[in-house]
Amino acid sequence: MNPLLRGAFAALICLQEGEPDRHSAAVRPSLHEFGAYDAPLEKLAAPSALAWGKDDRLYVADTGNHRVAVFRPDGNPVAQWGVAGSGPGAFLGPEGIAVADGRVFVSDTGNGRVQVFDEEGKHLGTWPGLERPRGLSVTGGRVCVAEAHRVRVFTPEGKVVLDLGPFTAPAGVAFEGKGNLYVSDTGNHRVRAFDPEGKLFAEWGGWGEPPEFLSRPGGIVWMKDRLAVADTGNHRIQFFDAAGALLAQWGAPAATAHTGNGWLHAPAGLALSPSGDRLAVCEPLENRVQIFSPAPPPLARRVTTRPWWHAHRSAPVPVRPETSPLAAMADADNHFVYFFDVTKNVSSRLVFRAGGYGRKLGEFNGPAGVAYDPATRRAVVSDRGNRRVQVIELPADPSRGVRVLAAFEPGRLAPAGPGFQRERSVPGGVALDAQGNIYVVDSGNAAVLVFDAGMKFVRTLHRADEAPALWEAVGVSPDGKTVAVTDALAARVFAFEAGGRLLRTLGEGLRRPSGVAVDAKGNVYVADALLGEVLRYDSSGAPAARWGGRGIQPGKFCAPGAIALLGADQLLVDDAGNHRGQGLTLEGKSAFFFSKEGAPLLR
Amino acid sequence: MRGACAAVLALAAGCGGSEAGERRIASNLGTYTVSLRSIPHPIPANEPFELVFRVAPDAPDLAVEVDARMPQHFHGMNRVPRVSRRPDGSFRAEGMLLHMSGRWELTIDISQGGRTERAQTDVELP
Repeated sequence: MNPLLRGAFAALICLQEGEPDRHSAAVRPSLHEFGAYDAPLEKLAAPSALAWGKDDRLYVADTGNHRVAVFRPDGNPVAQWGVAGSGPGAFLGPEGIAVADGRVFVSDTGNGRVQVFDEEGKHLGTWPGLERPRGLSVTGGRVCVAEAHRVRVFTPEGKVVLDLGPFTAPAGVAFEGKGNLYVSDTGNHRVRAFDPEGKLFAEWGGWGEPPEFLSRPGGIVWMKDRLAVADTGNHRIQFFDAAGALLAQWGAPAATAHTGNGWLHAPAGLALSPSGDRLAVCEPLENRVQIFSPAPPPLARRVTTRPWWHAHRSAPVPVRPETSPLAAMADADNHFVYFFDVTKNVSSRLVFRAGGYGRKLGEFNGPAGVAYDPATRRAVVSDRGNRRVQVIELPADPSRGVRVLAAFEPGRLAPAGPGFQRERSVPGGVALDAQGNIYVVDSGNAAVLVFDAGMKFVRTLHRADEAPALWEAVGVSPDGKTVAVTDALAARVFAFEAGGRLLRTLGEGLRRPSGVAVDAKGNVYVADALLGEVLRYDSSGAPAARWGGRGIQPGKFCAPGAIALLGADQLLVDDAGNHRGQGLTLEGKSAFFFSKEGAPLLR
Repeated sequence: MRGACAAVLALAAGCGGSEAGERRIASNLGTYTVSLRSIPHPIPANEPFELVFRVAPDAPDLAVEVDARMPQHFHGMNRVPRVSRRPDGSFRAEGMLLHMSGRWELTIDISQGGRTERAQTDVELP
């Protein structure tokens, strides 16, 4: 750890006796932890859900490895099954798991189905026809599945008995003993509670950081008299009574990334042991599972400050946009877009900020990407949660604020037709070419929608086959002749020519492509979130270079996301899991960091 | 004292007005022109007021939202205005109140068929 940070860290924590109160986040030691950000991916890769079975077995949806992995609580592996694919027993990015009555139910998210196994991994059956299933809960002969925009409850024979919604990407569901059902409505940052007939009787949350508020709640589990919620974006677990009153919270974001034992980093899945004495938590960014005692700890370390990546000096210091190279970054957790001055040999600093959580024009809900054109001072922002793209403009006069010009709904403007359903449209990454054309990934339809600078629809780029796909990021060469898009499920990058013809498929060496950029020569740069690497392919599609690796040191990454070119000789990487951006040379040498703190981190 | 605390609808570049108190502003991408006036005029400080405005080109399916913010203070109004269409085709925004002195940004968001464009002007409240 950086000595300066260690000093600050020590100064900001106090030790206190007694139970953690409901207003203080607390760090507590875990009983066990296994997997780690720098462990081999064969151990665990971005696990997003888990469930406890008999004989103290912990079943983990090992999302990045497309399999189910079974462990003892101390981390010793017991079994595993599944490979990447779409046949019986194969998976594409499973994000939900439940164990009941000797059966293991797995949300095979990328294949749009739930698969059922016995506890040894023997395939028993498949429920097809689901839309991106995630959270699962099984009790009393009822199976509840959270899908992209709804939650359905089935009988064991597959008959639908409840159909609830709409929700936005719900990630967690939990039955309570009386048959009430709780849903973690992730994209709306809330929890909703339904009685056995499907009548809503409580809801709480709303986006925010204070206790009782939630940020991208993920897995939930009912614990005798309380609901535990993985408050992913706030890096903590919150506990509520049946009506939503806050009872307690613990967990706190790490003082530095990859801090272990008790600190939490974007917890996603929760599972309670059958005896109720242990709570398992998985953290996809850390490739890790931690197991805690749910009982109040005798000694808790209360945390009185924000984590290292939060802005204590967050007020932007504006510059004239034409005088400095700027890096734009979308912060989905805090619903802002930031612009950093990344002038060489000058400490990177925050110079403009746009957004804030909300629905009004100029506000965002989980912005999924941003592209900035310094020639026009305009940026396009994929306002994913509001299903729109906003066009904003940096001021020529630095004393003025960022101006919102317009917005459009890509899914409404693109013509419906085979392979494109408006109701499934969700914007993902965005890119701009030198002519100002706007390229928007439609993640729900596995397409790239192209609009001109006046927001008029131009064309759709998509593949002809119906293979499962999750398109997330897009890059375009300055002349607009090459458009590259990432497919996280297929672990491929597809390169199209401007007219829509598929030029080539890039895939060698990729595990989970998460960002892509194309330079003027047609070289394609790809960030891979699982590998923590950046890979370069030349204009013929041949692998040309790769660098990085998982870590926090300069030149290393943790779950990198967006990637962009800065001029002709530098690359910007959204080093998302490390809560910072990095600038690199095209040879992969770390040149600078940028973050909301306004100062380089850990140099 | 309150009479002295009246706002000036600052003219955005290229904007003008015809009637007394009426201002014309172009939307930020130039698609629409908004002609607006406040009631009362000028806008009073910390008192409710209304905006009456027309949008050109007009269409029956135009949807309009009105808001005001203080960008340097990172906040907006304490009220949510209500916008309605009047029989003569103009729009009326009721329930507006600017509660602080300083520079406000008055925004009119015009939506049609999946596209929204913003028209805005400054209000200096002494």
